[in-house]
Amino acid sequence: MGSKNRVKSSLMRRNLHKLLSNRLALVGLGIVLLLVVLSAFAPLFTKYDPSFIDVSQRLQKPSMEHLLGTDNVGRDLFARLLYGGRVSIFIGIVSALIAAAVGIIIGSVSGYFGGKIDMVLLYISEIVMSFPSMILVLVLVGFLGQGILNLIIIFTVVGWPSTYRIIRSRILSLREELFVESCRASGIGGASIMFNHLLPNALGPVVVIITLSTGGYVLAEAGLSFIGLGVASSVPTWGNIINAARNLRIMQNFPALWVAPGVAISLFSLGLSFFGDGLRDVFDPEE
Amino acid sequence: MNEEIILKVENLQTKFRVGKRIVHAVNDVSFELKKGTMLGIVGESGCGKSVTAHSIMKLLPKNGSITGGKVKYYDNNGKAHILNEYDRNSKELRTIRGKEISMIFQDPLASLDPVYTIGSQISENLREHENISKKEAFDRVVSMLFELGFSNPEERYYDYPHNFSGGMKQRVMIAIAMICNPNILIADEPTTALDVTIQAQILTLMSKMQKTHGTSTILITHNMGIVAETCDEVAVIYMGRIVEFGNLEQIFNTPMHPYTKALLKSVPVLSSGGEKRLEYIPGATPDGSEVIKGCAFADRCKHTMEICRTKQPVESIVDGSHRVLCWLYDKGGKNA
Repeated sequence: MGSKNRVKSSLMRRNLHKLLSNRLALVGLGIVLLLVVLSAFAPLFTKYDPSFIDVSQRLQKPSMEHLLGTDNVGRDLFARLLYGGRVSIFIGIVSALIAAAVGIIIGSVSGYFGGKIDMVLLYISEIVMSFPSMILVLVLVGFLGQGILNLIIIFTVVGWPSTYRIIRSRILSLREELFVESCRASGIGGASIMFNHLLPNALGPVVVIITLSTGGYVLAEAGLSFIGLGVASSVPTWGNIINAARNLRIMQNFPALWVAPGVAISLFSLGLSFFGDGLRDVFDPEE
Repeated sequence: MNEEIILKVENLQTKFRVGKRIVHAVNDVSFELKKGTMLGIVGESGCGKSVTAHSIMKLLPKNGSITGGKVKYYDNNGKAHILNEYDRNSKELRTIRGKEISMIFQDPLASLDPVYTIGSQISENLREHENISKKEAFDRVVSMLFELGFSNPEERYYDYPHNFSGGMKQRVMIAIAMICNPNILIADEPTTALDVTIQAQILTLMSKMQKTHGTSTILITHNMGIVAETCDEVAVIYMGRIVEFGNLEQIFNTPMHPYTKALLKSVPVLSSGGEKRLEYIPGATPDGSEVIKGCAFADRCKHTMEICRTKQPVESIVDGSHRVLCWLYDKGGKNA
């Protein structure tokens, strides 16, 4: 009991241990971290400018000079992948975080006030969720237009209900817990109970949602960019790189141009899925 | 009776709306809590003892409301607060809750927030009511934990609730309730969820705290043994009414109400020797949503008379503070 090297929370240690012993989750985390580091520090790994057009070097095969070859206007593919990853991952992570934040705020308001406010917010979330998300995204892109910021806004609009519903339902059930009543018996005010006691208890599953939805948004961005509705084609993103390779001749003769970004997208979202599943196992009290 | 009364409950009525039905959980409950004493509220499950306690603090669920009576609390300056007239989340009530009147709940396992250390939960209550620095709060919490029998309070301060056993958690709950040195402590079946050996420990601790801090305590329990062990005065509740009220000797030596007698007979006594069978009370508690014309205990009582089924009994004063709600004693009572 009184040993010196006691860890503050054995629960945290147990959870960490559980996560670390899940090999698939670790592999997922490794892939994700690798891709994030490669993109974030792109200038360290490549000397090329992803937008520099050099027609004399067009459609090179992979070589030591150009690791993955060049595209049809002579831009280095490896550089484009790294810099493209920056934009794609940025959109994914930021959208997931903002969507979760919005969901948490609205969910707390809903759970805290209850009654009519809760009902209205719940209906709004149901309306959003009743549309197939891809269709809703397409419609919203039609209204707002292309662009990184617009994509983040759109993903937030489409994505907040999942967090909202979890937070709301968690708070509704936590509200009935005895520790809330004992807080009230100690004279602690409603807002303080809400934000200091209910919300922290409800946050666990949100981490999982953020992880999994980041992968989803990266995929969605790629899909939108591929059909020309995502980020402007001048900005390299993983979706835009594939879009640029959309040409029968290139598809047949230069597979690296579309296989490489495809693999990057798949690896990233697969890695996040593995990691997210691992996190879910940790947060799942049933296990 | 004397000026030492700290809490006075007069004709308290609490009702719950369950669908279309109205459940009368507390009917006309009146009692007084004297300063520095321990009052036991005894009764079987569902008789309204917890609701009485929650009504005092106005901690009723949304479908419950106090429909009549008064809960008067006299603070240190002798000022009377009529608690049931404050709004349920009003500032006045919140400054009284936890600081002047605090409460311990039945299930210590669920009464602590799992995401905070127990130290921060105890000092949260302290810092809610007293304007003191973190360091002072830490010191107060540590000395309180030490008083409650934690041998290494500085380390325990940083532990989470899951690191504690049930008895330890209940001690933490006592720490939370006692940290502001309240005038009244309401303990709602504090030992029901604990095993027998720990029960004794917690009760001893509560008696000790009550004596050293002079806290007036309301102990809610269904266990007559616990009452005999710790309380000064006893209120026996049946179907939301106090059927008998008196001090410990009066209730245990000269029980008057058939229900009290039956309760006392249903307590196992180890030293009784031989094969004495425990008695039980036949029948079940009636439905709280039905309006009973006569005495609610009439169907289960051995001494039921004609009048018991038709008229609600009136209170008879047996002697001094000893009062009973039963037609059997109507003739002898002065209040009849």
